[in-house]
Amino acid sequence: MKPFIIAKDLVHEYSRRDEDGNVTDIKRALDGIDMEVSAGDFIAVLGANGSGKSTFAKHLNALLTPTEGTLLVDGMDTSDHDNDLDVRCVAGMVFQNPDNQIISNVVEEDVGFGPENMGVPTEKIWERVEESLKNVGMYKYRKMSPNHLSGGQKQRVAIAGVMAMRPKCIILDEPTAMLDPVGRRAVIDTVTELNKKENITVILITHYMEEVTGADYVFVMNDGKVSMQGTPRQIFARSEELKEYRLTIPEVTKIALHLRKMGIELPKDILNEEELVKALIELKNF
Amino acid sequence: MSIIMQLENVSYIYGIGSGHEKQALKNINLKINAGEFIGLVGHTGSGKSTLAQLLNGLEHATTGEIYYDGRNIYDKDYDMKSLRGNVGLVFQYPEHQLFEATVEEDVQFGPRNLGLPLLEVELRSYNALKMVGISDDLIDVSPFVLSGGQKRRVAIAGVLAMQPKLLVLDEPMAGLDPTGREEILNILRNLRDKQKITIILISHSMEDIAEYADRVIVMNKGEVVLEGEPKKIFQFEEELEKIGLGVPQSTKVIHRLRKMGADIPYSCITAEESAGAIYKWLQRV
Repeated sequence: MKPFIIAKDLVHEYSRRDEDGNVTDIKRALDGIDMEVSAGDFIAVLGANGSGKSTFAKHLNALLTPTEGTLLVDGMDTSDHDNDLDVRCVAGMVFQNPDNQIISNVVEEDVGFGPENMGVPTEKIWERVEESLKNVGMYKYRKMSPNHLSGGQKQRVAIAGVMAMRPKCIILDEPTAMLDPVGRRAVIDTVTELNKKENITVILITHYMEEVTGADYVFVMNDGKVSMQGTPRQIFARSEELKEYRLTIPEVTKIALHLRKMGIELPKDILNEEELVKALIELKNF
Repeated sequence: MSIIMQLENVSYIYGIGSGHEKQALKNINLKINAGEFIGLVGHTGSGKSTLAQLLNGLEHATTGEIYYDGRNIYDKDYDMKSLRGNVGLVFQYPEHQLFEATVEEDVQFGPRNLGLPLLEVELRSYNALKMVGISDDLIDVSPFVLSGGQKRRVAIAGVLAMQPKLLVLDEPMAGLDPTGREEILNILRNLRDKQKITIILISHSMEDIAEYADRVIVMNKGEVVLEGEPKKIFQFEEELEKIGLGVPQSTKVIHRLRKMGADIPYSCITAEESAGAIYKWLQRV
């Protein structure tokens, strides 16, 4: 099977222009990205501020197009503007601030906005709205105003809005940056479930290492390039390198690392509480 | 320890008379000691940001009294302008409020409006930029060419140039990479330790609160529901989760181990402390 996303030598340059329209400055935000993502994968993208993550996300959604190189999304070349709408239908995007992406006064109308614009017949729209809201656990709030929802609930409505367009892939650009712990958990659980049950390809961009531990594969970006890639276990075993890229490791992995430094023989790739507790109990009982 | 700020029975109701009244704060009683580093936590909509705005006089309590340095800020002859100088407020995404042509001009904007002599203005901005770790070669550049973390630090310097005694920051690390978060947190710790500035940090990161705060104030539905040292507060895992919050991951590990019979003290809330305590427990026969 062909990969769902194929980036080859993908380059993006932002240019600054003076009043006469002459280019005065060029910044290379993406500098030769090679990446392949299979359909149904849960992918995490990590990287410092300014490393090119958001620029890359916008390419996946054809909001930006390659300066050089190619990007294929579900077989479609994003350089070809005739594909724009089709690319956006297969790859939906959720942004950081829920308040910037909710437009309607009623939750269900907001979710119906996408399919309506795609020309889906009315009765089908309502079917999709119902299904999407149920999928993100927000069906009982369908008649409410988004203003009365918490940040996490608003983000789930935004995800439902994307889901109602029946995409194959959702790209989430720091969807939890503004949320409280429970809101953060709810968004990540929702996305994980969509990935498992609906086989939606997920591209999650985040600064929270804990949110990445359940991903199938992780890409680390630095200075417009992919600097590391691997499973979460492989990535978080390389704590020194991550630090160079202004990143870190999950707190549980930190505890394990401290203990290893004190001479306790723990695996290098502990990712969550269950694993750490289990390994410690085993050590104690040994 | 002297009390820098005190709230007595403070309530705040939005939209009085509009038919959509909403009580954002209910009967808040708080004492903030000079030199404290306070973590203010609560789920979205719990009243944290409203509280922050009351502290520097941007909003006026519906009922109740607020004292700064022993004086009631709602007294008729109270100088509100001085309060806004003494209590600095750093909003969410403060870099969105940068607007001047250069970093230096942006930081000088506040003190210049105070009508201070030029030399004093320059000195204040120089010191403020030093405190947030912005190097000299950046002072003449446009703030808009800086990185996200640098912009945020310049915005914070703009507030520091007003020489506040108390600094209230609303999610100052949101959207920053892990190193950027740590940089901001260390700046805040330094401001407290070296400049003796009292810090009130609003954050959703329990790990950061555990590492940096002396005292945690937990809000829910406009009320203060828990208050105390982080290691005391984070014992209440279930209660915190019920109100949309949680405990640091380290604490969760300790709680789990305790449930399985491990004899490890509750008080471990950071990765380092937890590792130390777990080590001791493992060594015990």
